[in-house]
Amino acid sequence: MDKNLTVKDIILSFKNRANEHIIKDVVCSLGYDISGEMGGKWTVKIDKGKVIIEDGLNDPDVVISMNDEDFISFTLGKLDPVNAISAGRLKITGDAQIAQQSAKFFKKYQIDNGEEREELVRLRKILSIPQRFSTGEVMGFFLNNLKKKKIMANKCPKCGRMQCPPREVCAICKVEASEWVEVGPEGRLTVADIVFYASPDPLTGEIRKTPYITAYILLDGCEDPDTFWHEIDPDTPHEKLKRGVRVRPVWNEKRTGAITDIKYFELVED
Amino acid sequence: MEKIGICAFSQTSVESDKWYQRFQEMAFEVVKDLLEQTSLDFSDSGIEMTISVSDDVFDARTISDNAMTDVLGAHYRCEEKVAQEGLQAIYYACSVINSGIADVVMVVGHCKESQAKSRNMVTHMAFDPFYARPVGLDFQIAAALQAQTFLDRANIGEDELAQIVVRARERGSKNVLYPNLTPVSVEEVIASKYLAKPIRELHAYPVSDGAVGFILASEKKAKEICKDPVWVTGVGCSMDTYFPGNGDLINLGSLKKAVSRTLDRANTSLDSIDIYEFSDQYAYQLPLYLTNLGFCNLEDVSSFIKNGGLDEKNINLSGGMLIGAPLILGGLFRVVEAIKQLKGISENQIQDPKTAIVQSSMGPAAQFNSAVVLSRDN
Repeated sequence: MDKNLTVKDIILSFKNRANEHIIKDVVCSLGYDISGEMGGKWTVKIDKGKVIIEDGLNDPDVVISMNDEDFISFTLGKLDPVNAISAGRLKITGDAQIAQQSAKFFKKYQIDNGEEREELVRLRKILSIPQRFSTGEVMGFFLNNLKKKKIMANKCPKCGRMQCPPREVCAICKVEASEWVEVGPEGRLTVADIVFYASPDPLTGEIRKTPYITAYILLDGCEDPDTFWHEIDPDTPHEKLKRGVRVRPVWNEKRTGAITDIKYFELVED
Repeated sequence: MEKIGICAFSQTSVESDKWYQRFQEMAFEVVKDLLEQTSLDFSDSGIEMTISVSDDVFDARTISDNAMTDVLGAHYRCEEKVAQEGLQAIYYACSVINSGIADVVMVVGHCKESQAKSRNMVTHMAFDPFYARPVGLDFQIAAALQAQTFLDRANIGEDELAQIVVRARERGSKNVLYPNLTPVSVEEVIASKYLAKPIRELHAYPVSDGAVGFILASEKKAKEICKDPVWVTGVGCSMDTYFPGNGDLINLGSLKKAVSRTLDRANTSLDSIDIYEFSDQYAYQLPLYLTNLGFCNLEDVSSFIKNGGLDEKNINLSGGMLIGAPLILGGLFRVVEAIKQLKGISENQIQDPKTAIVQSSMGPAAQFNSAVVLSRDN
C-alpha cells in the first residue's frame, strides 16, 4: 500500500472524482467516520452536481464507519464492501441505499505515482455454441413418462437400489440397470436449500426469480441415498422445510418431457 | 519400450447423427463389448484403470470425464482423462503399465460431433480470443490455408484429391460400421461445393458420432487375457507452435518427429512397416503427410497417387479418416483398422501383414501429431 496515501487525501479527492453527469440531479450527504491514526470525521455533501466537503459529521443521510487502513484498502478496491460488512469491519448507519448508490457518484481513486499507465484492452465476449442433446433410451424413457405424470426409476438387478433419476448403470455394482419401476409421486424431503442468487440461462439470458428452494427428495419406493433432485414451492415458509416432511409434485399443465414438467414439489399439509 | 498388449478392441458404428443415443450410451456399448470379449471385470484383479478420451467443448460440459465414470465402471476406481487426440490414451496406458502402476487398463473414447450446431464452432474455440477468433479461424480454415499452400507448391491438383476421396469411400463402404458412407465418383467430388477453398465438401471427413475402446495389458497379463494380443511396440508424439502462421505450413516438423520417435522406440524403420494408417481429415492431408515422410516428394506426388502408390504401399487400406471418425478419435479408429489387418479380419484385408503404424493429428493445420507402432506375433 502507498505509505504516503492518507485518508484525508482520499476524502478531499471526492471533489475531483465526481461523476458529474450522474450527480447532476442528486442531493444527499455522506458522512465518513474513520477511526485510527489517520482517522477523522467528514461530511461529503452532494448538491445537484456540486461536491462540498466539510469537517465533522454535519447531520449526513448516512454514516460510513471503518478504520483508516480498511478505508484505504476499500478505496483502492482491495477490500470488498460486502465482505467487510459481514466481517463487521464496515458499518453503515442511516440510509444504506445512498451508501450503495454513492459507488457510482465518484470515479475510481487512482494513485498518482507520476507515471502514466497505458490502458490495456479487455475483451468482452459471449461464448456460445448451440447444442442438441440426445437423451437416449434411459433418460428418454424417464422424460417421456413425465408427460404422463409418471416418475420412473430403474432398478439395479444386483443390489436392488432404485435410481431416480435413472441412469444406464448402477455405478456401485457396475451392472446395467434395466428394470423400470414407477415411484412416488409423493416422497419425503431429505434436505432443502434456499438459494439467493441465480445464474442466467446461457442461451436465453433469462434469470429465474430468487430466492428459490432446491431440494433432495426421497420418493416413495426409493431408498436413501437415492434421492431425486428438484425444487420446492418457493412460497413455502422456510421454517417448514424440515427433513422428513412429506412432499408431492405439482405438475405443469403443458408437459414437454422435461424435468421441469414437475413445476416443483409442495408440502403435504396434514 | 516394453511392448504392451492390446487384448480387445471395440467400436460403435460411426454415423453422422446418433440421435438415439447420448454419449454415455455410446461409450457403454463399447465397454460392454470389451468386458464380454475378455471376461474381465472392474475388480483389482480385472481392469485397474480407465483412461477416457473426451473433449469439454464437444461434450458441452466442463471436466467432461466426470459425466462418464458410471458407464466406464470407474466408480470408486481410478479414472484418467485424455483431452488431446485419442491416440494419446494409448501412450498414456503404455506409460502407466510400463511404470508398474497397473497391469490392465481400459481406454474408451467418445464424441458426438453432431451435438454442436457445427464442429467448426467447436474448433473455433481452440483459438485465442484476441488474435485468431476475431479473424475467423477454425481448424477447417487452418486446414484450407495449409491445403492451398500445398497445392501451390506440390505437383497435385483436383483430380488426385478426388481420386483419394473415391478410393477412401469405396474402401470404407465395405465396412458395415459406417452405414452413412456411400461411394462417390471423381466427378461428384470435383463438383461438390467449396467449404473453404480449396477444400470441398467431399474432401472433408464426414461429421461423425461414435465411441471406440481397447483393453491394454502388460505382456504377461495380455497373454493370460487373450490368445493373440496385438502389441504396441512404440509410441510417440510431438507438438508444433500454437500459431500456425509461424510455421511452415507444409513442412510438418511435428509429424516427422512424432513418427521418428515412435519408430525409434519400436526399434524399427518406416520402410519395414507393412501397413500405414494416417488420420487424414481432409483429402489433401494424405499426400501432404506422404511428402513429409518421404513416400514421395512435391514433384512426384501426383504420379504416386495416380499410379496406385497408396495401394502398393498399403496406405490407408481402410479408407483412412475420410470414411469418418470424430475429430478427437481419429487415431483410435485407425488403430481398430490396423488391428483388424494384423488379425486378418479387415474388409480390405491384405495378405499377412505383421506390423502397422498409426498416425493422428490434432490442432490447427496438424499442429500436434502422435503415432503408435503395432505388431503381432508370427
